[in-house]
Amino acid sequence: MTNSTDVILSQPRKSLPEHEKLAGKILAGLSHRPGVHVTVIPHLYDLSPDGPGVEHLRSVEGSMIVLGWLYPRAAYWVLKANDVEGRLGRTSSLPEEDSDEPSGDAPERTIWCFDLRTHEQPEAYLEEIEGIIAAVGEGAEEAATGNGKSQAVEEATRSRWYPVIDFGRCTNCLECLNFCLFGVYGLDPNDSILIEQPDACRAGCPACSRICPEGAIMFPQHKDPAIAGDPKASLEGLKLDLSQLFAGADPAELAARERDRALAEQQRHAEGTADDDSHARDGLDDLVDELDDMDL
Amino acid sequence: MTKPLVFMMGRSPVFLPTDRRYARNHMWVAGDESACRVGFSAYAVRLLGDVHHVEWAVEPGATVESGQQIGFIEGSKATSDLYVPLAGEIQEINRQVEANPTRINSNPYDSGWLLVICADDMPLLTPEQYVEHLEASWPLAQRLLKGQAGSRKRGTQ
Repeated sequence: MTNSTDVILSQPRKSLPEHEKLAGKILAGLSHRPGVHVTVIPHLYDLSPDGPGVEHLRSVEGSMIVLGWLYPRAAYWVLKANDVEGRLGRTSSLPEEDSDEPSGDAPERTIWCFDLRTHEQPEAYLEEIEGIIAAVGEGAEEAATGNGKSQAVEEATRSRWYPVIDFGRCTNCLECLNFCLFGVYGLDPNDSILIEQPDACRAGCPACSRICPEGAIMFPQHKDPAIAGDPKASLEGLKLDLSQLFAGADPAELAARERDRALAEQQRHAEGTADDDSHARDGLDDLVDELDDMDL
Repeated sequence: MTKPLVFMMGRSPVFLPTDRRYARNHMWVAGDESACRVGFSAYAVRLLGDVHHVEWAVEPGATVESGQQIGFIEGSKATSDLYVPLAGEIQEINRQVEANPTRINSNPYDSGWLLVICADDMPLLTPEQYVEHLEASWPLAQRLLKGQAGSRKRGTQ
């Protein structure tokens, strides 16, 4: 195991002046820090699985600090989906969350993920990062080879939209597989859930996330924190409360409607290529129509 | 009285008396417009579990809109806000249920009634239509319940 620490800065999709200012100050604060390699990558979520960004992440052997404008839980499981594994480190962006620890054979290294929306000032991050670097590099300063110099991985990315599974929560119930109409989910040879065709996902549709019994499906770019990977929001947002059911409409019904709207939109786009009535009506359609007619 | 209808919640039957009508928010309504007695269907009661707390946000005499929140209920399995299924004027609230909420479990269709309302109008489902409503929404309700149960389990760890 190496004693150097890799710091990865995941850039925002759209870099605003305040983003650049914060990132610039953090990078400056880390420059010339012995034992640190800094790499700037495009938005972590948008990286292509076989592109240079992911290739670089996989090449990192030691501990890793990931900074980005997304929830740490989302960042961690995006990395995991790309075979970049480790223990999830605790930070001020992710103070504690039991039961979401990856179990089993995670490599003996830690990945700390910072949500750059947590603090406004760079000092708060730098202080924590310093602490981590010091702890990782303890007693090995001389052997450390990095010098805080930053490099950038160039990759032409586009904005992607696909589900990210938190396997610390997933129970492989396959509700998502049964629910999704777009063929995003599949099974691996062990019958475990798999994101088979991430880019078949309908941009903006987070319905499977709402349907997941364990709150294990994240869309890191969704505006609702519970869906984007905020662990606290997902707990509070789904507290056992029948109010929506007893008021007349429940979230599952709403999720199905959301998905069906996405499907309808896809079909509008595909018009001309499909058979005249390719989408056979089923009970769900009838239900959705009924719900639409309801004035609750 | 004719035999009640039965809806199977998984393997558990819930009974739906045919001498009254039902609202989509899982309440039954008995009587005519001048005095509708309202309570939870056995389906709703089963979702709540053992009810141990009922509180009201309205008093008799209050004018309410259909779907207006009028209180809160807590059972062993779930909590919910209470919503009135019809627009009108609240005439009576069952204070005995407030004092002894287990009546809702032991006798949901009789002494476990919740309130009496003088309704403006009664757009309700027949027992048969309510069963159809339950059948159509049960798969989705199950997902909702499983989903919430999953997150509740984590939340209390």
